[in-house]
Amino acid sequence: MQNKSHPRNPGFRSSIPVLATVGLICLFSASDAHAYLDGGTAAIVFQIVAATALGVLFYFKSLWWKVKRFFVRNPREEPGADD
Amino acid sequence: MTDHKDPASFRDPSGFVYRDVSGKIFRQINRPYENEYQAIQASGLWDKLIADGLLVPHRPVPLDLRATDDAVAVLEPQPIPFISYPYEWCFGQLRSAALLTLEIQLRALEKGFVLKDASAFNVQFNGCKPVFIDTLSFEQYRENEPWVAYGQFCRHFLAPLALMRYRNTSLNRLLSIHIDGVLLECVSPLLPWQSWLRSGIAVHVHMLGKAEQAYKKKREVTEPVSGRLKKGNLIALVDSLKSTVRGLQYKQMQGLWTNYDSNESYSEAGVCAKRSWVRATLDKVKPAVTWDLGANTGEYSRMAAAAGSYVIGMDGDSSCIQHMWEANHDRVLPLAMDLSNPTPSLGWAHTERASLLERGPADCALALALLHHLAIGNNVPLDRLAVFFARCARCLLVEWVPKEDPQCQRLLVSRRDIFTNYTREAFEHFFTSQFDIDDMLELPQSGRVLYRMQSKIVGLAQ
Repeated sequence: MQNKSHPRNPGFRSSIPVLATVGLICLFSASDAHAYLDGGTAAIVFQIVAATALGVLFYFKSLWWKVKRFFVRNPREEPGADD
Repeated sequence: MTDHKDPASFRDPSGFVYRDVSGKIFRQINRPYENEYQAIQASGLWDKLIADGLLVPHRPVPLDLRATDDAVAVLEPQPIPFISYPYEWCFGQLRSAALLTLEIQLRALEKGFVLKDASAFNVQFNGCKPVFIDTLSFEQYRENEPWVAYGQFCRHFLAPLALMRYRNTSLNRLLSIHIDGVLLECVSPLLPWQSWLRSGIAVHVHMLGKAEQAYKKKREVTEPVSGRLKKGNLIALVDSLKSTVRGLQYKQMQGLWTNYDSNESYSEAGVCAKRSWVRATLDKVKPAVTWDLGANTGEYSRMAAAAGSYVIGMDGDSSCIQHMWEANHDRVLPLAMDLSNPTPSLGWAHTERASLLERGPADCALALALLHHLAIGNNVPLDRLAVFFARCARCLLVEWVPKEDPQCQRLLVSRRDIFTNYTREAFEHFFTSQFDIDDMLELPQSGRVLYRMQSKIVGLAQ
């Protein structure tokens, strides 16, 4: 769980699709929210939006890993794998 | 039954932690958690987490040991040798605690459960190994329900980790002010623009912070928020948090004391004499718990651990603590602690999080090459130092550093010497008012002297 180094996340390139998707969804969804409003509520509403976008990315990430696992015996990192 | 409820265990109605008259620790499970308790036991989740070393082990004990009539079960958890807090951890410790929490969340989801809170205070350390201690943090996963602890995870882990990575490794101390996690709206403007380039930080810190701010401004009471989040998307969210935490790597800062060992002013004979005296003394005293005050890179912490002690190595420099944590010793717990301003009592009614002294006394305290930093570097008079050390431990191994010592002279380079009372005679005078001197050694080719002392404070002396 500790003291292992991992390849760093790819920076800006990987950020663009997530930022754009989440940003757009936030833009269109925030004004329609009707709720008892506090910090917790914001986190829950935001989470639903962000997780939906991240779910799409996760699907492709998992697919990529299945392909990689087919060709490489011990891939170094896998979605949901232990640290 | 005369029991002492743990002062930090009152927020969750599912149960609470208490000690019996002998000091043994128990966790009572209350009636509202009964269904969850049965479900979680049937699932085997606890057993698996305990077997893999992620959750603190516990065993059910007879209900007779309950603290109140509301109990449906009582567990006896394995005690944690020393309770520490996230504002005392280094970057690596907080990062490993975050990864542990997410790993547990993923495993809980696999078994149809979810973490109902994600507080950094739910994690403790056994040596350098993190372990989840809040056994009742689990509840059954309800289809399509969002993760209620998502915001808390970001405030307790991601936000301080980002600040430590991008700004300064001691910024986790903000958690002592923001006891339920650092507010994202405070963190976001403190981070550099480059942090937006890391997708996880952009989403879970910056954008969530902005969303929270926007909702605060809109504040209108209508109805509870409703929304559906598919389990697959929830797993994607947790995976994204995990990737974000894993992507945050420790950034080495030039520590004050990480090079201190090599710069010291001892002769080779002096170093050898000091090491062998400390080793022999520890073998003789055989302390169960040792506090190494001003541990630096942990040489003497490891020595105490080798003598069979559980050691809390404290230093004000968080890069030293990171260094010690990376050594991954199973009987040394490194903690960032500024001894001129040690951790106070915090939280509700000043009792929720204990001060440093409330977590003592230790059997033995090491104060090696430390005195001059406190007495000259921080203007703490010798009599006050004696009182503090006497409250820390039953036995004290302390090193007298004379004013002529090069390390002392370094502290006096840019200031007037106002320390006329900083003499060996005064040191012995004040310390013998609190301690009995059992042994001493004058180090060769140096004015430094090592002392073994026994505290005179009533209730501490063995």
